[in-house]
Amino acid sequence: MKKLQEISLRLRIFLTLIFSMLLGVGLLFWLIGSYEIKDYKEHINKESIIQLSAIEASITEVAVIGDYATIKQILHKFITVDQDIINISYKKGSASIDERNIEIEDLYPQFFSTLIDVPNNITITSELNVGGQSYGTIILTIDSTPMINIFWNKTKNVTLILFAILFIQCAVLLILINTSFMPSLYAIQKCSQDLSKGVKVVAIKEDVSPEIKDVLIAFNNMAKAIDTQKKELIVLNQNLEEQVKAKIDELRSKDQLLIQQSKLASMGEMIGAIEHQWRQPLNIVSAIAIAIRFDLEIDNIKKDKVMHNLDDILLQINYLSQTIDDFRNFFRPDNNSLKQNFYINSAIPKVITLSKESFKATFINVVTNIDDFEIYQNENQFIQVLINIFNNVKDAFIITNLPIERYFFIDTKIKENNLEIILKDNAGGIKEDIINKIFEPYFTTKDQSLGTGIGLYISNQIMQKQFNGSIEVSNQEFLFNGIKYKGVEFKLIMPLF
Amino acid sequence: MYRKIIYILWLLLLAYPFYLLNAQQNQEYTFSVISQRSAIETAKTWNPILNYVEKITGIKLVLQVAKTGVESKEATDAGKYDFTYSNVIFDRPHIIYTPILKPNTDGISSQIVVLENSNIKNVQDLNNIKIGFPSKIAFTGYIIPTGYLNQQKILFEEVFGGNQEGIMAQLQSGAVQAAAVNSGVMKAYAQKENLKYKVIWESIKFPDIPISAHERVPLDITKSVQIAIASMSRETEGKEILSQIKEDTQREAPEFSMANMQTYEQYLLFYRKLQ
Repeated sequence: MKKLQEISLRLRIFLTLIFSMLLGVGLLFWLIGSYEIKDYKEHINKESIIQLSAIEASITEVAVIGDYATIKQILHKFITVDQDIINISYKKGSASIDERNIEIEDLYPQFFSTLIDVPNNITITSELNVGGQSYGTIILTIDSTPMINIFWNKTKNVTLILFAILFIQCAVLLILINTSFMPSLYAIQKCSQDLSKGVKVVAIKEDVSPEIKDVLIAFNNMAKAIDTQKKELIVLNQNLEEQVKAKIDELRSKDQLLIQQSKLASMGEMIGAIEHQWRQPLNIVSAIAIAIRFDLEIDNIKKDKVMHNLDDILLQINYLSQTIDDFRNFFRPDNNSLKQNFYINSAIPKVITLSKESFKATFINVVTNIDDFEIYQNENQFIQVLINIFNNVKDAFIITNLPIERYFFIDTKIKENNLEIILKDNAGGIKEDIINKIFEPYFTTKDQSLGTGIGLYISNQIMQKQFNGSIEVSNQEFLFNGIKYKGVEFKLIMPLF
Repeated sequence: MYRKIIYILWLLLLAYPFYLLNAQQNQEYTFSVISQRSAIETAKTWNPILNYVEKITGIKLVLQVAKTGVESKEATDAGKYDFTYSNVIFDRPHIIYTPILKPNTDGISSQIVVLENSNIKNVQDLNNIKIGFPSKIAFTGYIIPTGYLNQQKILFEEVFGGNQEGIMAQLQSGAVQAAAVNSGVMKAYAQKENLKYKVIWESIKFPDIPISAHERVPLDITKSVQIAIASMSRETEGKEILSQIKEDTQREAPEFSMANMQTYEQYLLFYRKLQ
């Protein structure tokens, strides 16, 4: 079966008109029937009462006399004269007279009497009472059929006339639609199709109606406007592409700058760390040199002692050299894009080593609980992420300067195929209103001498873009050695495979 | 065994008077009214009176109206009615109905009447015209006036109207030029119909039509009916009923006094003379 949308508009209009017409005729039929039936019922009741009154008047006299033969004759006369009467009965005590007429053929359909709610027979009774004495009862049954026949014919005829009028109206309307509305509609349809095919100006026929002509002119204007706007849009798109490209370049430059700044910052941090690493051995070397010089000045040079001092110097120089190797690996540019397998248990201690002296200077105790996992990532970038967090922790302790034992906990665990590295301090935490901003670039609460505001931003970028992971930060309260502490917890999450 | 049967019979014998009393109480008595007017008019007048009697005495009187005066007379002669309101009961050797009540009127007379604008001025003018009569058995409407007209040797054509008001209607319509009527009925009819008429001849007065009881009716029943009807116009309820009858029929309702055969001696004398 076809869907309604698939039926042509012309057929749909035709079906709608036919349906409306039938509905209208049905409604009219019902309205006429309902309106007329009131008068009809009143009329038939009136007729019945008149008949009954006539019968009463005719037989009362003889009923008083008790002349039943005459009563029968009178009733029979009524039955003969009035065909609408089906039955007249007269009853008094045991006496009963019954006169019956043949039933009349009904010409109306059965539904009609149901519709107008009129029974085929109407029965009314009346008691003959004269001077307070009953002289019997008259039961009159009148056939409604003739009246319903008349009423049916009337209603049917009126409805047929109305049907004819409606039919003519519908036919005229259909012709009008077919000759006037439909061609206009097809003209609009063709115009739309032409426009959709790219025709810029559609031809307007002269025989179309003024209203449709206006619509077609409006279509042409619209097409022109669309064409103009299309051109503007092309230009705008071109400009937009250029603008987007420029913006991307700008952002790339900024990113490069940020990375550079980050590197510089990290370098600064590292130089500080190297400074801490080197100070002790340099002091030792310096002290040995001073001791050797003092021994030369007082001629107390002993070969064994000098040899021992030189060994000490060489030891310190080796240590310095190792320190340089450690830092050189981290800052080597070609290492920044190199992915390789490395063990967490070796990478984290490297950062601890790098930060050892600075943590020592700020009295931070590092507590580790690190399992050995092998991951395939760029180790240097991983170290850079950790260094930034380590530095942030160190600075937090410097800023808060709490009179407590300072701890920095490093834990690792596996959760749902992800490696989680949990770094937690007891430096007092970060204010809740800014905790969500710490990964934004150039956001810092530190003095200019301590922070640039790009370390955590870079760490977050590396975790998200390079490691497909994330960093979560939150304030935590916890117990350690029976003492309650509060601090910041950084959770580094990265996939293992 | 015999003792038981005797005992049952004794009980039945004891119960019999109560049965008779009950049967008497439940018995219906027919009450005939002479055909003066239409049956409906008659019923409108008499049914309320008979219902009143039943209410007061418990005696049920059933109104009987004959089709014609002749039928009424035949039934009366045959003694079919228990009570009758009629004056055609005196024309027989053995009178079976005894008058018990007389209307409170001055009496009735026979009249020969014509319309007021009629050219007929005296009895002689009645020669060779149509004279209407209620029926052949009507005392004031036929027996008395025809006796007089025959005595006067007046030749006329008889036309019958069935009852008093029937012939009065024929006079009113011009179907007959003169009518012999009961003076009381004529007066009442003329009042009701606003009919102007003139009396050409009038007889002597007779006592108005009596209510009579058949000789078979038990005396206590007759007495009860007699007293109830005679006292009706003095009782509040009775007066109301009579007033209602007057309103319904547009005529004076009949009121009665106690009477007996002597009250109607004049009728007996008349029939004796006629014989």
